[in-house]
Formats: sequence, C-alpha cells, structure tokens
Amino acid sequence: MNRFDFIRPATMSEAVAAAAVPGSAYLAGGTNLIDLMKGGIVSPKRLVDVSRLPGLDRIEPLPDGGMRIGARAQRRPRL
Amino acid sequence: MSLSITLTINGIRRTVELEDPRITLLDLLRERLDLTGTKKGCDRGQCGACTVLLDGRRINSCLALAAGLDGGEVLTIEGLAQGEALHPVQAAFIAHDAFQCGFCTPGQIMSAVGLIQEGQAGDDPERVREGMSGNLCRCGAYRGITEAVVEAQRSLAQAGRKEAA
Repeated sequence: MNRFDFIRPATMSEAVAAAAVPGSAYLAGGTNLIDLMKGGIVSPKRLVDVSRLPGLDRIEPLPDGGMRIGARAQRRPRL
Repeated sequence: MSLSITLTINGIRRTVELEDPRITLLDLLRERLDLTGTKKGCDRGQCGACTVLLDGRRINSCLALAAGLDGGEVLTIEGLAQGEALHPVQAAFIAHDAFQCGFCTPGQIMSAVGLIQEGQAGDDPERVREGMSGNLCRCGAYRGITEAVVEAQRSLAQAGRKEAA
C-alpha cells in the first residue's frame, strides 16, 4: 500500500475542505478503498476519515416527500 | 507522522502509538499486541478469517485501518471464553465438529457471535448460511458450522429467556 496522510476531521465542513485537496479520498468502511489500495489500483495521497463523523448515517424523510440516505447509512441499521 | 489511539480490546483499555497509518487492525492485533487468534487469510476482505467485533458489529479487521478506530471496542476470539468456560458458540462448534483444519474457525466463531447478537437469522439454517456467507471454509465444514450456529442461537435465546424470567 502507498504511503498517505491520515486526516480525521471533526465536522462535515472540515471533511469537505480536507478532501478538496487533489489526491484525497474519503475513507468510511474501507471495504472497497483499502482493498483497492492493497492491490495498488488506487493510491490516494491522503485519506479523510469520515467513518465516525456524526450525521452521515441517517436515513430521513424530506419535506417534499423524498428521502435522504446518508452516505454512511448501513444496509442493516443498528436497532 | 505518529498517531496515538486508544482501544478497548477484550475489555482492556490499551493506548497504542501508530508510526504508520497503513497498519490495519489485524496487523495491530497480531504483530503488536500478540493476539494471534485472529487469522490472516486473504488479507483482502474476501475470506472472513480475520473477523472481529468492533463496537458489537462484525468487521473484516484486514480492511480496517487502526488509525480510524480511536475509542473503539474490539472483541476477538481471545476475549470470548470466561476463564475455562467456553462461550456457547465455541462449545457448539466442538459439539458439531464445525471445523477441520481450524484456520477459519476464529473468524467463523466471531461472525456467529455477531450474527446471533444481530438477531437477524434466528434458528433458520438457510438464514444462518446467508448471514455467515462472508466466512469461507476451504475444508468445507459448512454443515457442522450451520448446525453449531443454530444450536448456539437456541441455547443463548434460552439462557436469555431464563435471565429475563
């Protein structure tokens, strides 16, 4: 795996700012990204860890009748 | 860049310095903390041999960067038994010959413990097979594994009912 900087933002806006730097990738569960990095298929220069950022795991109805599914919402939400 | 993380591993709080953010939870457990019960099979998230529970959920520890787990609670195969008393899933694996070479067994057992806690399979063998499908067994001990998980699920449910009564 290539070397990279590991960033742990505390807020959503910090995360977006950190990931705006070219060569960055978001890290959440890692089941895809880390696998690809181990295979040398992708090699981001910095990982922005959003796995514990609050708010991204929600599934919520919107006022217009639609629904927002957070990027980190789980297939099987914790009961 | 050095990172410091604190993990609770099998009930014990440990602070670890990571000199490199590339270290996975699996390598941290095996190489740094001498917890070699968790096995490295494919190291690519395909075989499930490295399954541990993180905050009660099953994960492939080979795909989890330790740097991102600060504050997490990890349960490995070493933390299941209470002294000499085996966990019901461990006892059921022995009773049902649910292994041959044993390499995948720690991952199978941790996955079974997670699955039973999730309560999504009950004692339906077909759903147990589906819920355990992330854990490969090259010896092909699947029949015994399924029987063991079903039995452990029943005995744990029974124990839970007794406790609640």
